Amino acid sequence: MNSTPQLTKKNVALEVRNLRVVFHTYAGVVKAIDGVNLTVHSKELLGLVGESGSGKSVTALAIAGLLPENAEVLEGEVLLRGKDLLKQSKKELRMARLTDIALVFQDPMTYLNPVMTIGTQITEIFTGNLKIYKDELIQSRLDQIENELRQETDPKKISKLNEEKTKLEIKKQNSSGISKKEGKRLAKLLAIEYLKLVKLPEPERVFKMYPFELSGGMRQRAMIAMALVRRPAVLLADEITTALDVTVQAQILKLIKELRDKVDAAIILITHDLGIVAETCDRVAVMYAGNIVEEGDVIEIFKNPLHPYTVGLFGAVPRPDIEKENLEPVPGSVPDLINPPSGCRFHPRCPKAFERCPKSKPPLIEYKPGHKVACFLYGG
Amino acid sequence: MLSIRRLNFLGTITDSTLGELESINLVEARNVFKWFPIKGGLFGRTIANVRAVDGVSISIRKGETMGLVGESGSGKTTLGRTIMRLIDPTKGEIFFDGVNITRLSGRSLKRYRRRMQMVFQDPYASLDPRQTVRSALTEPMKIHHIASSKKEADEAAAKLIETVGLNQDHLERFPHEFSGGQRQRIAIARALAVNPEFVLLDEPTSSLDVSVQAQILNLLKQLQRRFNLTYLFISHNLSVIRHMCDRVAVMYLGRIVEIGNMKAIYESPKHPYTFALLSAVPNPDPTKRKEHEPVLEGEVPSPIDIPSGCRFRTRCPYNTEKCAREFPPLVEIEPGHWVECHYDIDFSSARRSF
Repeated sequence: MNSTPQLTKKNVALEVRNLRVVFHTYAGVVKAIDGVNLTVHSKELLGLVGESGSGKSVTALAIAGLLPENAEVLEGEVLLRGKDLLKQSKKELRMARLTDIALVFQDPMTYLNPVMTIGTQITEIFTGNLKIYKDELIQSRLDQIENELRQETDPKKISKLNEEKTKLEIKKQNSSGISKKEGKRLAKLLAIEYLKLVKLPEPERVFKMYPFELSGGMRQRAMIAMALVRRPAVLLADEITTALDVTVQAQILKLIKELRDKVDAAIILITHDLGIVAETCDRVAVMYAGNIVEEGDVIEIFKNPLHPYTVGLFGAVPRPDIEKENLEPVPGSVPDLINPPSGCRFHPRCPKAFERCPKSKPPLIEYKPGHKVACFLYGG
Repeated sequence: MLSIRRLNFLGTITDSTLGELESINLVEARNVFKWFPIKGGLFGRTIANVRAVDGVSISIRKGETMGLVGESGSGKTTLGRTIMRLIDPTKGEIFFDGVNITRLSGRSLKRYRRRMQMVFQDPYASLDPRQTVRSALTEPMKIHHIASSKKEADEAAAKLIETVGLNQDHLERFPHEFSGGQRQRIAIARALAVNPEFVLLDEPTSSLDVSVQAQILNLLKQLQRRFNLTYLFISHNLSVIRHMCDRVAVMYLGRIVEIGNMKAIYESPKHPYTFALLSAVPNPDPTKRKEHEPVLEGEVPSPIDIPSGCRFRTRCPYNTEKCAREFPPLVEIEPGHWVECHYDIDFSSARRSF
């Protein structure tokens, strides 16, 4: 079964160009991201994989404009709907986060407000910004009504739905806003639709629950519903299953795969687990010490890894299906990014390094269609 | 031998057979329970129990690596700590090299403490930040009178640090100067400082990156061969367990639901939970993608309120009325492969990817 989308027909949802980010710390300047280029398309699942300190989370935070105070973007562009997010004002950036970029993190308990019900937290986005969301709320309710009408057989309910429909259509034409009460009602209906979409059992009940009443997997589903309800162009999912057990992880990954086809968002799945990438993603970008070292179609990269680091990573991972007598670890450890190695940042650990490697940085070049690599062994 | 194993698994062994067992098993737990009481009400009565370990028997043979796998809350760490006598079992007995150590204390227990050591998950928390590596390695030697003089202890420490792949300069440093992988090497060296026979490895690579994890796993295998160690390897990572272990025990809600040789468990699992667990592991091969595979629904129930009968029935796709009524028997499906399930389910019809 081939689930890889046709890249040529896809619209680019987000483009990151030559991003460079440093952190100012007491110990020195940490060169966290060193020229990252990345493109994601709508309805595409891109895996961003790397070990700790490789810069995958910093890339996500930079995209969302959520870098901490001590971070500095030296150069680069984050293009979304033709605009460079990095050059926008705080207000515009807030607007972009509200409508176009959504994030889901590792630990849902940290990001959910413990004293607010799940429902309030989801609908808050709409009820707090009724002016922006008026049309969308009405339209989504109209779509819901259409759907219900198709399935409904009870004449009483049909007439009731039709009545609501005409009322909403008048409100839609009307240039004035909708009342707070009406906004709340519409937002609730929309929220419940999304709680259903993420397969939460009894969505009406979950709507009224507090985060502590949910299990880890349910919380993560609620977070995903909250992220998707605004129909973002980009969903950044940062290690969303790391805190979960394998059986629950499998449920969430299955959900993510289903959602890819149901929503229009481009999904960037950040993980350290190659298994998760192989299981879910269409494309993958491998990061090492602030650089993307290899990028391309998942099946191609897993079959023919080119970069010595990617090859090393595959050799080091124990597999559930094959018995390996010995693992081949990548020697050494991740470099200190205050004083990163010169040239190719992987060269001190690379078994194939030669004179050119410490001298200059290899560019990410297209080795063959759909497979990019940043290594002098393959030209550049 | 088979009959002995059967007896010993069920925990109904008599003293006369003990002599034969000594040569097979280094560590053994018989029908061990560990309940943590929840106090409440006016007089602080016990109102409920967290049944973390709920009747477990396990035996670990000399020189083997036994894997203990399960999800969070399954009781694998509690079982490990009970076996180490770090916490006392509510009920049941623990044997080390044929001797019942359940009631030992003080000096007599200390003798056994030397022979069983532990490596913890988080090397950032398990090393004293104000102790140099040299001190961390020589202190256990002093406590257990392994070295007769300071000079001898220092020599042993120097040897030890090289055994785990670090060098002697590292001895004067403090833990904060090391990376996660190096710290775990130090923790392993500390465990080995007293020449133990049995080492409990509780998620030793869970906090490490994959490239470093491979280094540590290889080191552990090497050390086992060199010092003839017996391991109990606790992990939630099924790929790591497969790589490391000879035998595997699968825990669910405080009980071992399946135990057997690594190959048997991975290639022909018999318990529906083991099967579900194995199918849930993401496989790093995109051509073997599980597109329409059913996944296990729900989450682990609370260990305070354990389902009646079979504890897995609330999530089991094969559950019947019998499962709610009767406690499943422990059945030996093939020699050495035990399953706690009413039924002999054939999973070959369920589509699977390995």
